Amino acid sequence: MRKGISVLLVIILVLAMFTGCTKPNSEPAAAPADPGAAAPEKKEVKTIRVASLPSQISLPLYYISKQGWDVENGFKIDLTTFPSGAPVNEALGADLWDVSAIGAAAVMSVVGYDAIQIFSHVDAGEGINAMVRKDSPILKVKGYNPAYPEVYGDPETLKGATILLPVGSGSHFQISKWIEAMGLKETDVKLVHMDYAQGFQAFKAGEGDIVCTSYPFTPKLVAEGYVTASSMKTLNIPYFDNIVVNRKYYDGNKDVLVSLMEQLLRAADVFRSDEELYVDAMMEWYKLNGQEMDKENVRAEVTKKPFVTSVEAKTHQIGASLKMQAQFMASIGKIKNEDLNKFDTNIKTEILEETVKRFK
Amino acid sequence: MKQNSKYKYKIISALSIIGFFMLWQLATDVLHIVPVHMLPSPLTIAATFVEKLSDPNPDGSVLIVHIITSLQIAAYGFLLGAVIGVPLGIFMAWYKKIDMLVKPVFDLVRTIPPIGWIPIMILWFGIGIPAKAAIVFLSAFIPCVINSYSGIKQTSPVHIWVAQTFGASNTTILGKVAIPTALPMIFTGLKLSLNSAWTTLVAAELLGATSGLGYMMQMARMLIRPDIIVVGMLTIGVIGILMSAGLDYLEIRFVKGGN
Repeated sequence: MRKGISVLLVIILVLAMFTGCTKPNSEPAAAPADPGAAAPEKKEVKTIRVASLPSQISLPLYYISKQGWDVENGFKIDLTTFPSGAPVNEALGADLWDVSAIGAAAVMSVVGYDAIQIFSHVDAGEGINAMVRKDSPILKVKGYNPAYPEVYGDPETLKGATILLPVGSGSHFQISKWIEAMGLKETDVKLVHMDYAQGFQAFKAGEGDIVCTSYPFTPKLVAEGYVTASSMKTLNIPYFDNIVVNRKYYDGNKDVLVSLMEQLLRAADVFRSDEELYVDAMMEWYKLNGQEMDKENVRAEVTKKPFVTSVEAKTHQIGASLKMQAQFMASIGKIKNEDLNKFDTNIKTEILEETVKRFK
Repeated sequence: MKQNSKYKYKIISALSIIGFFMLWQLATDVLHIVPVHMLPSPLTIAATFVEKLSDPNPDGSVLIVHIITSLQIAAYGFLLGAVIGVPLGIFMAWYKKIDMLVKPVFDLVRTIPPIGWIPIMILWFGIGIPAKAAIVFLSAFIPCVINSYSGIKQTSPVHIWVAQTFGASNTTILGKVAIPTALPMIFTGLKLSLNSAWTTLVAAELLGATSGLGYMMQMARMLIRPDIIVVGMLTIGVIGILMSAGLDYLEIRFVKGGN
C-alpha cells in the first residue's frame, strides 16, 4: 500500500515538472481592447517550404526572406538548402518541400514526381563551360562548324577524349550539343561522371582531357589558366533555371504562388536596377553557404546571368528550355519517350500570367 | 520422423518468403498503400532486372558489365587487402617491435571511413580502377589485420613451450604452430574483409565511374529509378552471399580438413 502511494506521488511530481514547460510567449502582451472597437483582423501567414541550392539560382528566394517581403505579403518562406538537384528531388519524393529553384534536375522533378514548372526565372547558361588545358590539341582548331565560330575542336581532336562532368546535368546537355556540332556521337567520347567540385580537383590533378564546370568553379579554373573550349553561350543554347512546385501544393495554393512570384519579380527588378546591391546579396548568399568568393568574379557571374524582370516576364515564354533538356534526356535514354508528354501538361503559365497583371 | 521435420521446416521457410513477397506486391501494385516511387513492387523489380540484362539505358551499360566492373574493383581491393593485411597482422602479433611501430598508425587509419579517402585517392591514383581499388583495399585490409593479429595472439603458450622444448626456432614456431592455430581466425578475417570490400564498392564508385553496380545505383538515384536501385542492392547482396559461400568452402577444405 505504502509502496503504491509512493509510486503515485512520484508520478504526480514528474508530471508536475512538465506543467512549467510551455512555449515562452515571444509576442508582446496585447493592449487592453477597447470594448467599442471591432476585433483586429489576424493576418494568416502561410508557410511555403522552399528547397534551395547554394548558388545564384536561389538568391531571390533568400533575398525575399531576408527582406521580410514574404511576411508582408501573407506567406513565410521556410528555406532548406540542398547540395545539388538530386537530393532536392529525393526530398520532393518524401514531400519535404513545396517550391524549389532547380536547374536541369527539374526534368526529373517533372518525370519522377509530377512537379509543375511555373517559371524559368534566370538565364543560367553563362559559366557552364567545357574547359581544357592550355596545351590541349582541341585548342588548335576553332570554328570547325561555321555555325559556331567561337567553339574549339574538331572530330579528330575530340574523338576519344575523356570528359569529366555530372551526368544528366546542364553540362551534359552542353557537351552533347558540342559533340553533335562536331559531327560525333556520345559513344565517340568517354564521359566520366563527377560532380563539379570533384571534377575540378581531378582535372587539376591531371585527370581527363576536358572538364565541365559551372559557377562558382568556372572563374577558379580560368584563373588557373585553363581555357574554355565550348560553352552554352558559344553553342547558342538557351538555358534557363526553373521554379518548380510540388503537385500536391500547386492545386490548393495558387494565390500564395502568385504572391511568391510577385516577390520573385520584385527581387529581380531590384537586382537589375542596383548592381552593387545584387553583387553584395550574392556574396552574402555564397558566404552563408560556406563559400568565400572574389567580388569581381561574383560580379562577372551575376551580371551575365540576369533574372527575368517584371517587364520581361510579360513576354517571357516558359518551358522551351526545360522541354529541350527533356528531349535531350530522352535522346540519350535517360528518360523514356512517353515521359515527354508530361512537358506539355506540367508546364503551367497561369501563375505568371496572373502575377504580371499586378505590375503595371 | 526426422526427415519429415526437416521438410516441414523447409516448407515453412519457403512459405514465409512467398508470403513476404505476396504482401509486398499487395501493398504496392495492388492496394497502392506504398507509392511506387518509395518502394517498387517485386514484379517491377523482376521486370527491371530482366530488362537490365540486355538494355544499357539509362546508365550506359547492361547489368553484366556493371557486375564485372564491380567484381574487378572488389577483387583487386580484397586480394591486396588480404595479401598485405594477413602477413601484417601476423607479424604485428608475433614481433613486438613491429607491433609497436605499426599499431599507432594502424589505429589511426582504421577509423577513417573509406568515403573520406576519395579526394586523396584522386590526387594519388587518378580516377581509374587503381583509385577505386585503393578505397576498397583500405576497407578490406583492416579485418585481415585485426583477425590475423588476434588469431596469432590466441596461440596456446603450452604449444609454444612444447615446440621450444623440441628446439624449434622462433620462425619455425610461427610457421608450424602459430599460423596453423590462427587459420580459423584468419579465414574469419578474410570473410569479413570480403564483405567489407563488397559493401565499400558503392562508395568507391563515387569516384569517377563509368560502370559498376555502385555507379548504376547512383545514376538510378539521379534519374529517380528506385527499381534499378533495388535491383542493384539485390545483385550486390546475392553476389556477396555467393562469394561468402565460396570462402566457406575454401575454409572447410583447407582449415577443417575437408570434413
